[in-house]
Amino acid sequence: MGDSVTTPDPLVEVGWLAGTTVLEVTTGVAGPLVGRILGELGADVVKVESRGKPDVNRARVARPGDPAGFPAHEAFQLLHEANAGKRSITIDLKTEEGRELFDRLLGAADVFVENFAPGWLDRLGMPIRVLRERHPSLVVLSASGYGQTGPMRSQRAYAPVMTALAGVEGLIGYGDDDVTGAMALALADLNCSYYGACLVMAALAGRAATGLGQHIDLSQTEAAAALVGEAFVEQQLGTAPGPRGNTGPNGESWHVVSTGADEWVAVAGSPYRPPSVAGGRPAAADRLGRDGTEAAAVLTPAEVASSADLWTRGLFQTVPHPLLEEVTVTGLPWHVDGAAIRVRAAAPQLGAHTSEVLEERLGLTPAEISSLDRAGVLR
Amino acid sequence: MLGGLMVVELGRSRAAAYAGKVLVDAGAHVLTVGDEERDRSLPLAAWLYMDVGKQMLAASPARDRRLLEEILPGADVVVTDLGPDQLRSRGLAPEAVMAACPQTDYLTLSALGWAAASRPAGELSMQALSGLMHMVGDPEREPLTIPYGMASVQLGLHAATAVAGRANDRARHTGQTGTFIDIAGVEVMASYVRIYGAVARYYDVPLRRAGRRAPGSGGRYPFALFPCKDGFVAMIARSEREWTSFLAMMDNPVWAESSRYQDLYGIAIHYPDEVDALVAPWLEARTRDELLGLAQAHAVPMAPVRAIAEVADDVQLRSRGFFDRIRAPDGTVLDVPGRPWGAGPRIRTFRPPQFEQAVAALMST
Repeated sequence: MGDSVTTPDPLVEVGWLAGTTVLEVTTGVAGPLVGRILGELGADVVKVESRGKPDVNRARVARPGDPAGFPAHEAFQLLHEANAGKRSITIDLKTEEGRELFDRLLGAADVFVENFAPGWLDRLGMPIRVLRERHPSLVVLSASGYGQTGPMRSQRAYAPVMTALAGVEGLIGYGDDDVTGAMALALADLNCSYYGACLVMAALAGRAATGLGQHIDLSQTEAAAALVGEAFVEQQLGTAPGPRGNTGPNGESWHVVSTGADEWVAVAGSPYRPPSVAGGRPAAADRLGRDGTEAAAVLTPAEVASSADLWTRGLFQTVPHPLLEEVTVTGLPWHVDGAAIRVRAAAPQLGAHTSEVLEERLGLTPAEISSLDRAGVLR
Repeated sequence: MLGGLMVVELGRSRAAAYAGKVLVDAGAHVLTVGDEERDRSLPLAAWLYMDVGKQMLAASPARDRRLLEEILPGADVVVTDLGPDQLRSRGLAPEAVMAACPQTDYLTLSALGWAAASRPAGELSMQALSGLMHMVGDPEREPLTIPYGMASVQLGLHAATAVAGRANDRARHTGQTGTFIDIAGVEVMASYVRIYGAVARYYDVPLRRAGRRAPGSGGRYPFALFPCKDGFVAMIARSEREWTSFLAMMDNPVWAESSRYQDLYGIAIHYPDEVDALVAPWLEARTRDELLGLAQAHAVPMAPVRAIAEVADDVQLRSRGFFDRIRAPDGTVLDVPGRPWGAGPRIRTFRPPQFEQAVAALMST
């Protein structure tokens, strides 16, 4: 990706899931991002929250430098990255009327995505088994740290904890006894999100033939272990896997060459020829690249975020927001027939579409909705 | 799920191979067209893990012609990580395939995107140019890559996701013309870095490698790997309650009563080493399994950094029947990660590489 491209790629709204309705009760990143991917591909995604327990990414307070009245609860970047383009409704599922509404919404949906700790639906008297009996065509995705079954099913987890258990973190380091890990990556979350979206769409494809939905019990830890399946084979063939430093996946030597203060060029290939660092990092990478050697500047995340090339490619897009004027959201990183996939909208404000969705999906009248609201069902 | 979906995998790297693997796991029929270069690029462990369940074909010029004329017209999608020159020389470039097979989707995987796919770039470029590498490793040393081609594997997962999306669309709306999908590994990994960079931006933390710790502890201490008696544990607390639970797990040490150690943002940004030193003796007196037991009892997000051999024996994973058993062509039996969605274990064998069998399989679908 050179800097020569200046004409922005066209943006397109993909309609692969047009007409598909998704209901989600999710929080954080892994589960919400599943819904967002489905939404970017054309599904109508409705996020169900409650004012008592909104998505954790709304639980933000204004920072000292924020202006007075800053809507911190709607501004966190992660909220938008994981929820852009959805509609938001609020229902208190602890009320009987709320659960009844929710069940009716499920009856009008094709997909249900949830990622709270296993057991929460049981405690509400809505176990997945019963939901599936009532709505047999529904595709249900449960994304959790360890899966819906097993002795650790309810253990608390964040992405790097899961990759630690899956064996991934222990493979990252400069040498055999030097585990460093990659704590900043949270790979278990995003890996889970794409696995989840893949499986939901595969299940929908299967449903087109059978008419039947299914329950997908996705374990983030297992999905992380699946990333390093090769290491399990190596282990059994007699090579104990461990940190290998800057070595390529086939054992080839990689070299990371300093070209300045915390500036680096990564070089593949063998035999290794040290690059001239004259001209700094881009020049060194370009020179090596022209020779047919794989070489790349080690870019900082800030450099990547401001890359004109990636903005031109549509990876980063700006969308309007009613309270923040606009927000920048990362696009789905695919090009379809030469166009980048358009980010449809920012994340919805909490409960912004409650009336709209209840009218549209369930045919409720404004008076009925007001009555439910007064009774505390829509909080 | 994807029964009846015919995928042709034309690849040499883990990207296409992993895409094919995920699609096989989801029920698709995957024809993998291999050659000597693919055999060299995918070591035995990768081949055994990623290719079981696929229909393997050996490439040749004559077979490439038959592939184009007999197989691809009936395929739903071509997934390739070959470069433009390789594909054009074989008559299998997107324009040729999509002209001859107008209903077949064509999905290209590369480090930099199809327009730049002739440049020498692969796994290393994906990690370096996405910002990922800058965030991994010791702050006093050079940036560090992550192993096992994990960026290529993510690229493959994105391909499988796109194919599943198209499969559903095609199942609902028959007779569509093919779609050309181009996915760049740098953009896949840059999207990951950008999305998780949101936390660091909120706390105004520079995204730079910080050893076993997340940069700036992600704005709230703790967020790191910690040494213990027999290795390391990963521990993260993102809420006051989780920190309080961790302190309770340590029998509420006196030092924790100081207001200095109740400001988790302050610790994260200004003096994480000081608190590391306070918790280290307690952690280093306990094994990973002891700590996991305590963490479960106290609802603390902490877990051992497992070695692969330990993961293979993990009680949780075994209880869910996570591992598949594969029988290699030489008879070796191996346990490998299976489908991560509770679908149960399988015993799997390799299919013999027979071209005519592949054609027959296609004709029967």
